[in-house]
Amino acid sequence: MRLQALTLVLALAACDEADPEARALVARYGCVSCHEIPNVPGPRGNSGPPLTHMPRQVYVAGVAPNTPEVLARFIADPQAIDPRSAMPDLGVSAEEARIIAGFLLGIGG
Amino acid sequence: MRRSRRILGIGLAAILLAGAAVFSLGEFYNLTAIRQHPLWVFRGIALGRDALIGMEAEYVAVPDGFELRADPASAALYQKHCAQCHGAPGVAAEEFALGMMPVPSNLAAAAKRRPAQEVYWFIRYGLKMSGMPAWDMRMSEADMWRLTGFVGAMPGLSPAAYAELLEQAGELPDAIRPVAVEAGPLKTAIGSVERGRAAMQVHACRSCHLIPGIVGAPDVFVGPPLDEAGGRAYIAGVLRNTPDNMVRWIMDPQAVDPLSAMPSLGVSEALARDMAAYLYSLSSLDRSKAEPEGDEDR
Repeated sequence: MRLQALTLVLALAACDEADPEARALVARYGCVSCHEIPNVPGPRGNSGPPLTHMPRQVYVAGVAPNTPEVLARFIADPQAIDPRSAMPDLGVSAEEARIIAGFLLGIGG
Repeated sequence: MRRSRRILGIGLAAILLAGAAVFSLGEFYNLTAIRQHPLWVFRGIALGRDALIGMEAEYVAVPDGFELRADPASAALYQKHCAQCHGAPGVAAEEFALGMMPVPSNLAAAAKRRPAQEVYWFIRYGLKMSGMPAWDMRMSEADMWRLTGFVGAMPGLSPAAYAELLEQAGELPDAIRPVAVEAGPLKTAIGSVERGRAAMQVHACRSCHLIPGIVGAPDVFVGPPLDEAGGRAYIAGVLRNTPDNMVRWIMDPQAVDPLSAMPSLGVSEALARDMAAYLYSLSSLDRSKAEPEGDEDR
């Protein structure tokens, strides 16, 4: 029993330690206030779509092919991808957007 | 005790053996579209199918004034919606249809042995795993009966007469167009929520979206999952979520966002309302019941 608890704690810790940089960015820009993101604590926002299966998602914002480059561009400047998008421009830098996109495309399968 | 257990064991073994025999001798392992089942399996399936359809079609009520009739309008309807797969007098099916399994049947032959109620049943409900689609909710009741009458008249139609009818018809009607679905008893529907679910099934929504209540592949994310779509603040990421906006979006996605990958499927307003009702019934937060605050886009 104790061993199981220990394994669980270790697993959670490992989970938190993966992509610390990306996780810090996701937390700083408050992505979860609008989107559900697996293993990221927050209010499970439902203003935007869930980001639970990003690698399998065919389109970004329902308009452009889902590639790391397009996703990063959308995060950095949503209206460049879809002028009508309700996703706000949060002032994410290109480099930060690249890190967040990589993180999102690595989760959920 | 021991004896009954032995009988049970033998029974189970016999069932397993029979299953394995049907699977291998029936060539159920062959999933290609280039080989039909062996004759005895084919006949068996056809026998079961016809028995079930015969029973179901008895409950189809033939409308007053129905007649087997080939006129220019019904010929145009047939050419537009049926001939691609079934061919017509003197007209081959399209190339893709020649490779279908089962091969779409010749309807002049079918009309000789099937009553009109069965023909109508096939048109309206389609046939699972045969390639025959259901036209329910996507074609008006009047057009479905017009097609039924045309198919019934096909055995008496020469290739020249068919060509002549098409000539007289001129422009062919649009493939799929918004149709006002007439009020009438629907086999699958009990209310607008349930009708919305059925409408989403026959508009192939599930091929791009995960939708609770509609069975399909577990990993399609062409569009977002629709389980919480009714509770989301925005529709398509651009439009404030209100029932009217949801209907607008379903009917004409490009009017809402010209860049959207969601295609226009020719959904009528009535059915779009039913679909919206279904979506709102799914989500934990039902925004159709929220306070209306004007109808602006954001």
